[in-house]
Amino acid sequence: MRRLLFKSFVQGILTEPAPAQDDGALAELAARVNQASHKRLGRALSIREVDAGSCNGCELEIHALSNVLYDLERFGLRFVASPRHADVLLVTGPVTVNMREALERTYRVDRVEMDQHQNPP
Amino acid sequence: MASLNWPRSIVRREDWERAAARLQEGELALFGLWAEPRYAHMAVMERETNACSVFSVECEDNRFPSLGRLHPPAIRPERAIRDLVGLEPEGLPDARPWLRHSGAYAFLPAQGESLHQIPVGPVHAGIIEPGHFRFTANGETVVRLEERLGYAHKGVDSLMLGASIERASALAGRISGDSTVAFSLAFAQALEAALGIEVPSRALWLRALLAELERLANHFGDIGAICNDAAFVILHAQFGLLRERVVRTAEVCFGHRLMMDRVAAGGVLCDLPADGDERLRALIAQLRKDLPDLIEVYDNTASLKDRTVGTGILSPALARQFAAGGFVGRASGRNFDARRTPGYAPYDRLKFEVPVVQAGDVNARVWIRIREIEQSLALIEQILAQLPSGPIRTPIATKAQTGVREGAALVEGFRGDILAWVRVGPEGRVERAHLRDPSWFQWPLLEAAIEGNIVADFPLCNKSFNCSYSGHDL
Repeated sequence: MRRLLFKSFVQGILTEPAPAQDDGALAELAARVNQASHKRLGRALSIREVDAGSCNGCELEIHALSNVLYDLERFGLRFVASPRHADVLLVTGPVTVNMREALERTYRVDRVEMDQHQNPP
Repeated sequence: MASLNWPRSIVRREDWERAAARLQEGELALFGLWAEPRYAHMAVMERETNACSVFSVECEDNRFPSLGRLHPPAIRPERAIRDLVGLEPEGLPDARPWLRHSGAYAFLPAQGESLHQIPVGPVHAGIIEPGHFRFTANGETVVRLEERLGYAHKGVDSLMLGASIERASALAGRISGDSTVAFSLAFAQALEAALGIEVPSRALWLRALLAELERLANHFGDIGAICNDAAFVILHAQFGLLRERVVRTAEVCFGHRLMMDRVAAGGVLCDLPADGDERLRALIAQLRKDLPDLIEVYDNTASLKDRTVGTGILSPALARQFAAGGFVGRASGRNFDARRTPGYAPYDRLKFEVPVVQAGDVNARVWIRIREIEQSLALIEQILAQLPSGPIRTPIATKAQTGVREGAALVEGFRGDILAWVRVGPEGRVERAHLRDPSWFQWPLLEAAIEGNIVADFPLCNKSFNCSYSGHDL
């Protein structure tokens, strides 16, 4: 254990810098989305992911976003456990018949929380 | 019409029933059970001789004798047959729907003092596939777990009907994304058996290379996730890094992180690039350098071992009865690996061991996977050293074929053995295909393994099995 901790300490942080926005149009779009989302949602974006029948490939790659090399959370993007904590519902898969009800229920909770966030009683 | 490896014969009802009795006695192991209108099919292996066969029985009045009546591993496949094909397994002990969800579901009862139920899913707290778990607990202790699956059911068997070879192959590669190489390989082998296609030797070796990379990526990711479920985050981060190194190298060498759509009937669709050998050797060297420290930490952290040792024990008897594939079976004494039995090229030319232990707990499943990582690293080195040159694909001329052809294959994915069966029609289209994920014979065992454990250890047990939802639900 000590060896591993020492190695981690010596090798430094593995997280890679964010990809460069070399495309002008892309940078402009990012800036506008950023502005709009900042106004509506604040600085962080909470995402609730629901697998509605995917092959599990998407889930593996969404997991990868949180590994030490990408560390998505440093950009204020966070995957949350409950739709009640979420700003965004991210759906993977073709939406199977058997997942329809569960997905709709998750979506409705998400919407209610969003509305309350934007229009507090 | 039948393939050489898995000869299919149409049997009388008496013979079907005799096979059910032999499954019950343990003389046969069940490798698959599926159906089409008028016929039910079972794939079995003789325990003594490892001889493989497919038996089919004609279903008069849409009925056939249930295997599940005598052999419990057949119960869920038979429930699925009822749902998907409409055939009635006579004497099926559990007649509730399985993949077809309609209305309220009657969970099995549990009786006793102070019991309470905990429903979990199909939407889970983490980013995982959908499924429902119904726990009945006495305080912290799980008295009964019942799974309800089918949420990821998208009708793969139906989508296969009449599909072109290309479309069907793409579907096969999307049955379970974590095992896309293994599924593509199983389906390709079944097609090659059906159509009598000879695969160039370089392609066979490249397939093994892809398959071992896939095994490495999944084993790294899952060991990390198991540690994470014991709240031991540092190993999750470290093993996640190793997984990422593997999938990045896969992308650079083969153009896709999960290596989807790289294996096709007749060979492979991509060759190793000029610097591929060097990159893969660098990857193996890096992994060999990083791994020992992580294993040392896993094995010497008392708080972590406290969670994994003695947790979620699967008995060797159950593993044998269900012919549980992969690390689930091998951690509970079942010495089986499809790369060796029935075996396929190029593994007959490669040196590897199949690790087996008896303990059957979470720790044993972790250790089998650590040992398999070591084997896969050595296999990749051997493959790189011996990779033959030459073409990577034999063109398939389905149009020239006449008559109906069938083929089957058994391939070792990271989870265990995948059975693929296909029938190609005279037009060169898939008339019917069925791919059986290893999870069919592992999911029911998770219910047994969790019994008597505490609720808080379920994530650990579940992750140590890591059964597929999508692969099972089809």
